[in-house]
Amino acid sequence: MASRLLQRKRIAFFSVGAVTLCVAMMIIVKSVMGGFVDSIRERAHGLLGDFVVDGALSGFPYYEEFIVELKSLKDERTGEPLVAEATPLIHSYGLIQFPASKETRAVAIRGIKLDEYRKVNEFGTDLFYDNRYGDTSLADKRGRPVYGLNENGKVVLPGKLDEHFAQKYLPSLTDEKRDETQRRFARSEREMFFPGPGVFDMSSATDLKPGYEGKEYPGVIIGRDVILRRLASGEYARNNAYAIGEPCFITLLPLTRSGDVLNEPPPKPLFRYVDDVRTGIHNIDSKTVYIDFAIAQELLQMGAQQRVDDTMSSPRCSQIQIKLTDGFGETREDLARLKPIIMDAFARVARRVPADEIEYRQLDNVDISTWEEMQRSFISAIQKEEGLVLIMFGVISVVAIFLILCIFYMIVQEKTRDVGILKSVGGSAEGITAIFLVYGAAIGLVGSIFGTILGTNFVTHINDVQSFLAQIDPGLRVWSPETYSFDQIPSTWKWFDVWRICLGAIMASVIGAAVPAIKAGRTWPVESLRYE
Amino acid sequence: MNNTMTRAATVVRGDGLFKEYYLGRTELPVLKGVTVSIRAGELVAITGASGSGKSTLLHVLSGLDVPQRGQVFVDDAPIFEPEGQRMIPRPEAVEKALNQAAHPPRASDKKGSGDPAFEARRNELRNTRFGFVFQFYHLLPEFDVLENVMMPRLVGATTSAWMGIRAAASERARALLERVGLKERMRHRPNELSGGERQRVSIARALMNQPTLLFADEPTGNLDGKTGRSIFDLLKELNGDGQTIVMVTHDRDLAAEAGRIIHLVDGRVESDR
Ligand SMILES: Nc1ncnc2c1ncn2[C@@H]1O[C@H](COP(=O)(O)OP(=O)(O)OP(=O)(O)O)[C@@H](O)[C@H]1O
Ligand SMILES: [Mg+2]
Repeated sequence: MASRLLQRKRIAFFSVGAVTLCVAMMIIVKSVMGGFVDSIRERAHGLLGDFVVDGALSGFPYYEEFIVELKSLKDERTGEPLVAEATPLIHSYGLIQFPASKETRAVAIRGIKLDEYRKVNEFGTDLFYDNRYGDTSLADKRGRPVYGLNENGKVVLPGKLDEHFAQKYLPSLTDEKRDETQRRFARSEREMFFPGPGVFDMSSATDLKPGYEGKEYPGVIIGRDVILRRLASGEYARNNAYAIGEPCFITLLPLTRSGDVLNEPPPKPLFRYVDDVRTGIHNIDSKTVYIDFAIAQELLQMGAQQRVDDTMSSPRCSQIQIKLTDGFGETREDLARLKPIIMDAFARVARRVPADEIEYRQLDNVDISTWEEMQRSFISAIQKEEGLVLIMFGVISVVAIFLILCIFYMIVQEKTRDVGILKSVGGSAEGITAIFLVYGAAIGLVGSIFGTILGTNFVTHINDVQSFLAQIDPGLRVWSPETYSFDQIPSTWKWFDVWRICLGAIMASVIGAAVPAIKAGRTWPVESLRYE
Repeated sequence: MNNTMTRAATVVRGDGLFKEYYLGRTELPVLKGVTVSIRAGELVAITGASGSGKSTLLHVLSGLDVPQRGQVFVDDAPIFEPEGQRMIPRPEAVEKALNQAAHPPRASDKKGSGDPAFEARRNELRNTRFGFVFQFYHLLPEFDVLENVMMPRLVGATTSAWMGIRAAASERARALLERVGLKERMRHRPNELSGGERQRVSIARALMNQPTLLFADEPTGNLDGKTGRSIFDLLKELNGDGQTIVMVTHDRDLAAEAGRIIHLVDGRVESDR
């Protein structure tokens, strides 16, 4: 009945279209904005571990004692150790310079214990050379690995690297990817294709052995965006300009124990570029290099120093990242429960150690935060971002609901005369109202279904859409990795959001239809009939 | 009254009907105390100058509209709630202001349909006892002719009962359409029909539930003389079969053929014979 009364009306198509667009718009906005906030959170968690103990730039002492204390913490119920891993970090700033190109850049310098660091967070998941050839290390001094010929005259890398590539990396790929990789990195007898360690011109040599070349320096892992250019496709252009093993100077800025800049000229040692990393946060990847913790500590004069009274001060670090044992700290509540335990441990250590006045102040400056608390300062925008998302989403919701209400109001208004006719032949107000409610619900439902299909598909392919637009005109590239920290537009959606949005749309449709329908149902038939 | 035996039973009786429209501040009285009764089997023609309140009277008698004063009785039972009675009392000040008006409006004014019990009764009457033929047909454009004719039967039933009654309803609708000479046009939409044909459809619709009383507001007003004549002949024929009809018309010739003519002048009954 409802469908017959309102069929063949172009306005019905329009209203389905409008509901569809509203639903799709809401899904897109919610998914992209929510996805953006979510991925910042996820990345932040991936970069921070579960807890972060943070000191000032001049660092804090007795971190080793604290880490020992942390690792001895046990869960009171099960007796399981709470902390799976805790690793110290050093934060500083400096310059990186490649002698080959004379290019100098200001960078943030992280001193990390690579093995521990990658256990605490997801740092290791996108180390380019390490994933392919293994063997990335910061502390070991190395030359540049180069290709040579083995006894069979085949082009190979130094044993360990070649083995890793052939036996671990290639099998870990899908068939399709493997074929592609083998094609791209094919090593023929006489030529060598990039990428791969040791670009080496072998056109003149016949008896080269695979091995390491040049003086040995400690390693540096460089943020991928610092040295490589990102292509529109999302891949990075690897070229011969900066091959693995390329030496570079890193100028560091040591501070005294009391936080002053030293008077001596800053140290400027040579490192070798051993790997590049991508955390996915552009802000970090374009500005950060990673060197070994012990080396950084020594260069930045954060090791043990002699006090005036001839005793030795404690070495310092800038930060400790803590990874909890699996099963702990998975919810916000559990993190909140564990935080005081960790703070207590820190306080115990601070009371016990023979700290001097400066050290006490440094210990005093230490903040212990969960990764969630930390991320707020980690990317300062996120707080505002979340508020902004809420406000914008609210505004959009109101607009969408209002639009749907308006459309239905107009449809029912247009049907006023029909309402009068139905009443004049004995239709009751309730019956007539029910017809419009069913109609509203039907339109809302159909619109929601189409809107869901449209919205979710758009969200899923949003990056393709952008590439397409960027092809037409580069100015249409709305999402730039430089401004938004992430190089891809978030493209996932949640059923929970979709349900809520659809429910809202259907409710708006029903209410939008109900208000004028009830009004029309209550009017005297003659009044409705007169309506033009 | 000892002539009740000889006279047929009263179908509907309007008693002291007042109706006025408010156009902003000014009041426009349309009915100024009309009392009429319609008896079974009559063919009544209501005549009068344009604007004299003929349509309004018809609407009020059939419960499509509400008079500010007076009552309409069907089977000696009122169809409007008594004057001044309200389900929800009005604020005192408003009540006072209304009482000072020339014709204090009935509780159920046009802003709502008033007491649900009376509303239900009127729905019932409109559905089963009255048929209404409008000057402008008022057919539902989305439904075909057959469905339009069936509409009163469908509207009167619950949705779940539709399946059961549909066959019987369709049977009757076909018979009625045959009677009004539109057997061939059953599957057409109203906008594919001529004015005269539409009027026949609307007569068939009005007859769908075998009403005791058929109201027709200028059923021939929009039609040429010949077509109007044939519609009137149809009505007369129906009347011959015992159908009570109240008809508004401007056509003196047609009115003259009716058994009874009520002449309205300026909202009052001037003559009734
Ligand atoms: N909704 C309304 N609002 C204001 N005035 C109205 C309204 N409906 C009718 N009127 C007025 O009431 C008066 C009587 O109207 P009504 O339709 O009953 O006249 P009528 O006798 O049927 O005339 P006609 O022969 O032209 O159909 C007219 O003057 C008209 O202007
Ligand atoms: Mg009229």
